[in-house]
Amino acid sequence: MIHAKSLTYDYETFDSEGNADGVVRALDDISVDIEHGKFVAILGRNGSGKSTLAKQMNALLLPTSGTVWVDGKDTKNQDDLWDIRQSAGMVFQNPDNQIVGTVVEEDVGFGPENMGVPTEEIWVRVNKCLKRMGMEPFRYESPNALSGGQKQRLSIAGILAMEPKCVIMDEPTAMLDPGGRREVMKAIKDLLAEHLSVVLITHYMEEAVEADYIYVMDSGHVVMTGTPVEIFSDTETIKKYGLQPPQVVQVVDELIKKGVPLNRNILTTEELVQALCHQ
Amino acid sequence: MSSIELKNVSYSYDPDHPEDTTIEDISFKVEQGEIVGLIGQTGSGKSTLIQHLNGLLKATKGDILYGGKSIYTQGYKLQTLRFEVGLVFQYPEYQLFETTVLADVCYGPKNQGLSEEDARARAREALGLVGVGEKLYEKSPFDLSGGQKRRVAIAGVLAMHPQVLILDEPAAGLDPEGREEFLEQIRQIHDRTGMTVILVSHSMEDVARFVDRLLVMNKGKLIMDGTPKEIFSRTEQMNEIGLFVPQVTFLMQELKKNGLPVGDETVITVKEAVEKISEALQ
Amino acid sequence: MIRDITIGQYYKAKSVIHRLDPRVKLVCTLLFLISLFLTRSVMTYLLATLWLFVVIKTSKVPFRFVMRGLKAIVILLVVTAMLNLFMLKGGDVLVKIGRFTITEAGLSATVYLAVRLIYLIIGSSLMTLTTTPTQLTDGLESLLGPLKKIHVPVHEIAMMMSIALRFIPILLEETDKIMKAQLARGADFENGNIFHRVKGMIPILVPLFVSAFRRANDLALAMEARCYHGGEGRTRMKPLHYQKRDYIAYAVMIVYMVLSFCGGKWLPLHFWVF
Repeated sequence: MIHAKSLTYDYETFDSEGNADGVVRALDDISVDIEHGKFVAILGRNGSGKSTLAKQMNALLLPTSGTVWVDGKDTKNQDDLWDIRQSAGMVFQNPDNQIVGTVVEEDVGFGPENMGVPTEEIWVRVNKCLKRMGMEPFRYESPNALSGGQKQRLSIAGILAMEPKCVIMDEPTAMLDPGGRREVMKAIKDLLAEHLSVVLITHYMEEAVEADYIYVMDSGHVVMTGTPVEIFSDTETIKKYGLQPPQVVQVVDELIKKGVPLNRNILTTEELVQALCHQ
Repeated sequence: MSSIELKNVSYSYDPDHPEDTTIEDISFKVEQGEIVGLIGQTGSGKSTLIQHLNGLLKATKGDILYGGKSIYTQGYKLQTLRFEVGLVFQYPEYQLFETTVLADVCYGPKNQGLSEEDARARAREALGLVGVGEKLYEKSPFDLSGGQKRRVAIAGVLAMHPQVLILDEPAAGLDPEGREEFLEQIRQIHDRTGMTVILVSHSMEDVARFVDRLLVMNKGKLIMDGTPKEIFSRTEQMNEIGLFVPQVTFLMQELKKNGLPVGDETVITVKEAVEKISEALQ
Repeated sequence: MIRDITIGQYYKAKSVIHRLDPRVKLVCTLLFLISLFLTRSVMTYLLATLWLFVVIKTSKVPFRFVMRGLKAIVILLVVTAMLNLFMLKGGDVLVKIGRFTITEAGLSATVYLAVRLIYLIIGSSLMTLTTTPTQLTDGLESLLGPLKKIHVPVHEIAMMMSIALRFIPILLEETDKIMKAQLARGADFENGNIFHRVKGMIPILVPLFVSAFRRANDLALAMEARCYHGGEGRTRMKPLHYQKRDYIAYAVMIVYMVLSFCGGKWLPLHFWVF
């Protein structure tokens, strides 16, 4: 679905007079491969290049060198720009700053309007996407009246109305409370059930545990790749990159150190209960 | 001596409808030097409550005592109260405005009437406490990283030498490592200055490790007040109000349910959990 | 709460007036305002009164909501009325108190002025009460459409208006938050001379501008990600189509204008400028 090869991205820094005074390498020789229908998490500390990578995935930024293909299309090809953005939709961190419409249903229609979808078809899509995200009861409300979790669901509905193949989410849960975070995670599961690919950037390891595949980034490099089991069982390394394993994994890790014979592939409460009580 | 005491405090945004309260009949006492956590869903009234503690909002009913004296007595200087009860809002980095880091931190002390020189001394001390190095002093606050900005903003409140420090979601948006460092730093500041700390948080894992006492709010009411262990032992009630309990607490309850003899005590940290499980396995 | 403030104070109801095409409402409101200033006769004002009464009744907006708009201009109304009442000289002197005199011309001008202003406010609030901000911007964009030919960026202006409408409540709340944050650092916005107070605003204005730019930046990115590229090739979710009721409304308006104008002709025509 999304494929990046030797992707490098530099940006210029400016001094107080506005003259370029340096170049910062935000992404350095990155290769990622996001398969169709998969749930991929990208982790790493603030400033490690996660968001920059996300913006490369729908041509909001273009590579300095290397190539990114979205659904087989090179992001550098200007003619395919709108196709690329349509097939790889993006949800951002701040729920307030990505809602354009003054009424919920109108915001969902914004993407299709821009794409030139005929009016009747827009309504079909809006109705469908509001329902899919459970936002139907709020369709005539002002977005300002919604909770954080509802705003993010609205943003996802707005992306879905463009009928993308992949949804890229840049820390969609960072500004939400635990209830709002659960709402977003449930929405992600709904997307996966409909065979969309999801790329989730997050600081919450409990969310990443559910992914099919994880990329860990540090100062512009991809430093670890693997399944959640592979990533989280290596507690020493992930701590080096500023991450903290979920509490269950921490417990497992400590127990193993104390000589309890446990398998390192345990990531969730259910798995640990299974291992300790039913074997 | 109690530091802050609330007596039946209610607040309503709309004076025409005093029954439409955002917070209702809240009473509690905080002792000097305590670390108290305040949790509740968005919209439960936490933010409204903390804005009462330094007089930004005035209770429509009830009374608030600071150091034994009502802050609603005629002629009480609220400005002075605000120097005593420092309030750090959520995402405080968005309040920075000065041209240099040092000047921004001096804003509070100068409002207190301190001389330029004294204000600078306070600012240096506060920046030291939050771990912002000297080479950043003359930089524009807008050129700093997110984490650094937040430290500078907190220093801006610390520089006023408050007796009470209220932090609204101080770790929001930071990465796990940043969170850890940050909370550790606040604990150190607490230990060094003996300040009372009130921490508003959404992370149950954080408050479980960090505070001595928890206040739980739901729909404008204070529904629980106790140690983290007492509060998290009421898992069902916490789930009902959408707050949930730390992952380890839930894990230990599940283990017990499935027959592992881990004891009845509520576990809230990884360390305790490891001890209990290894005991049970032997 | 500050977020509840709705700009233009739309009143939700189901009525023919609510359902009318926003273009009809914009044009008719404009014509109504012109009719108020074109003529000055008892006939015209009686007609205007009747017109407003009928519109309010059919719109199902409660009378007190309509009157709310007047609160904002009470002071303006009183001051201009006073100036007119005492300054305009002409005709018989009606009352004389010391140096102040009230003349016939002064009194009649005052009454007409007051009625005009009040009807002007009622007329335009009726439009905003029955039309959502989005409909208003859509209507304006459509009415100003011909200006595109002389390269006026009509679509962009309408888009800016609609984004402003969405962000005004957010920025108001943000202002409140920043103000409180600075108050918590001991700021004093109430005391001191003008110079001090203006200087005291800097800690609010700088963060507010920084935040507004950050939001604008985020929003621009989000819009781009949702394939926004200006008005070209864009379709509408809610396109404007005239219905039968809209043509009827236009017809009624024309009749009203003719009557209003003729009513003015029966009595001497006056143009008042104030």
